[in-house]
Amino acid sequence: MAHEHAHDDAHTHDHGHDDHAHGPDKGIMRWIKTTNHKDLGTLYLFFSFTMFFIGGLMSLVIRAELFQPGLQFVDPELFNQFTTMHALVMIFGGVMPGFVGLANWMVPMMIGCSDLALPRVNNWGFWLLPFAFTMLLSTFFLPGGAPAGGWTIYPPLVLQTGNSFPILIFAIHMMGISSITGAINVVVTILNMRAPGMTLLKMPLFVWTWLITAYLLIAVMPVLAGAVTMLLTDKYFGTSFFNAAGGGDPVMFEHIFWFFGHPEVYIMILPAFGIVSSIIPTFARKPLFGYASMVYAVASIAFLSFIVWAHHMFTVGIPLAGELFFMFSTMLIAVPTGVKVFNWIATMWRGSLTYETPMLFAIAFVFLFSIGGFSGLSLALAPVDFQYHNTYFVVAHFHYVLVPGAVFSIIAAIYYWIPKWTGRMYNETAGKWHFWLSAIFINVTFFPQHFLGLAGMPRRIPDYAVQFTDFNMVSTVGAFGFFIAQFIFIGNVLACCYGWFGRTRNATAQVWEGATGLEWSVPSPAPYHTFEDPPLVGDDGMPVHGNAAAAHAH
Amino acid sequence: MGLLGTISLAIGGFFALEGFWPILPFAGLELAAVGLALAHSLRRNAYREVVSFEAATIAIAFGMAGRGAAAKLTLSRVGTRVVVEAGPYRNSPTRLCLSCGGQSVELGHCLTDAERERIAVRMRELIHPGWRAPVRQAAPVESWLQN
Ligand SMILES: [Cu+2]
Repeated sequence: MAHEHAHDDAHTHDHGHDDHAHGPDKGIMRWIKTTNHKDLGTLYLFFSFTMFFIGGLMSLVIRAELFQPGLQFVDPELFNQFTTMHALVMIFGGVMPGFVGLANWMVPMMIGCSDLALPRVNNWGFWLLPFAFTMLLSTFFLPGGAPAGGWTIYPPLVLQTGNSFPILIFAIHMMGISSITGAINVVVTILNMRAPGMTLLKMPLFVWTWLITAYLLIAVMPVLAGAVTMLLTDKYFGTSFFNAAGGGDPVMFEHIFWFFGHPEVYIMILPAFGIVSSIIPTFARKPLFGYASMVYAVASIAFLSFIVWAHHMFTVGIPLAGELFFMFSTMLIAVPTGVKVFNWIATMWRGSLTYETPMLFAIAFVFLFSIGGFSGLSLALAPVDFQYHNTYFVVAHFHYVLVPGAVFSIIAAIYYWIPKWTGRMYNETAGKWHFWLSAIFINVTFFPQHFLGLAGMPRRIPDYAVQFTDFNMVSTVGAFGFFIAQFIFIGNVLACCYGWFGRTRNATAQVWEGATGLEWSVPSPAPYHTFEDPPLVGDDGMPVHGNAAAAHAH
Repeated sequence: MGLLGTISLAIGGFFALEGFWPILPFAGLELAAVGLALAHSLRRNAYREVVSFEAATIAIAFGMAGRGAAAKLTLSRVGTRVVVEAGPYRNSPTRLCLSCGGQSVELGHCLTDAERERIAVRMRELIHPGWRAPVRQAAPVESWLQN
């Protein structure tokens, strides 16, 4: 009984996750009950693409109606419902959950922790969404139909909405809660759960952009929640926040809405910057040029997003000083954005470039997003905006930043990381076909809309003057082409998920020759739990031991 | 957090002054949620369980890192058994318990099943000498427990 080893301490330590059985559960309950960040990331992405599909079908109805002047397929009231719901579904159902899904998958793997900080909240935040959108979409079948006042829900027009109005407000609240839970989870995870050695300024840019995005979300979601609540009380409880007859101010709604709305636009593009900043260095086989300036640029863009909102309201009638202030502050955004574009190009400069599908989408992002940026600059000029306002030029502008911008980045991210997620490589030939068809058709769809807008075609109309016919026909052809091309993508992705066409799990841990970062140090497919033992992160952002031992597949 | 709170409340406060007060309570609610989440995560990160094996006893201490043990417990080294039992439902996590007579403590609640299994094996090695042949050389405790 003599004891040499008087003290043998066993510390048990919380890794920040609660219940986890080691493999996934079986069957449907796995997906309902899961608190695993990878499962939830997958759910978010599947949800997002379902919504992209539904919103895409709505856009096809819109484009079919606009193929020719006159009314062919839908009556004007239904047309307005489709434009409104297309926007709500794409923004809140497609783009945002898409980015949250990517954050779920990648943020823990990029900073070397085992899961998000609040896994059960994560589950709850996701499962709010299917209910919110089922409710919202069901309004098409109510008497009076779906909301039709535009996604910006301006009073007094939106107050004329019928039975679908309270459902719209409730759905927006649910989406808001879901976004906030996601944002809180990302912030807490990044601040509290980074692996040793993963200092803030060593974090991959995707993590940085998501941290700043999450801050933006937390700052502006209460504004949206308050705004829609005031609409609700104005309609049903006799308040007059925005009712001029009762002493309220309808223009103030526009201020409040865009105070939320402009940062929201950046919420939908900052993570895209992060994705592109991850992909370009990999395929240029060079470190990202100007890392610190990238971080500062994103932070400046986030700050500026709070002081530009009235550029959506130049024609409302604000004082001249206001017009000037919002014009110049908006133009200022071009500076940090220019820094980012410069850095991406400088990263590619003299790199040893290869053009795999993720890289193609990333390069197209840089090029086409810049076109959207330039049309945005045109719109920022107050005097010019008096002509452009409410025309198809605006439609062309924001679709350029959202589709070849945000959506291309989500597609690029999926091609880039899917070998890591599934262990199976996507088909490169199909990827290239998907890219070229998408890049061509998206320009066929939206470039002519610039001309339509400049010539004076208003947005949100089902019928138009005959001189606009040619460009509208071109645009409609492009839209159908783009939609059909996406089936190549869906097939390619599902083949990776389910191993169709004999795809085998042969992806290496690093996948891409030039890839660096913690996520590439774990095996492909990434085990259900990664980084249960936090890795020690070296100066190059890789685990110090430089092997896959950090992740143990149980 | 301070910055976020300032910005959020400033925005809400400004609109409230303009008469659009419903934004402020949402901002307050949300900040409370952010604060709660941060505090919860920090607290959980600091939680520690320390098990020390003395000649005749096993000392177990629970508490927050840096603040000493909040609760302590001593079991007899000879009479303690290490039990890993299945959870109450299919797929629920296993439970690792040290039982001594009628007393039983659960340990490693926040670990994974596999980690609990490894700790159980190691603890059994350390307890056995009390009533079986002494182990020659106790292997160093796995460093993965001490991150
Ligand atoms: Cu804006």
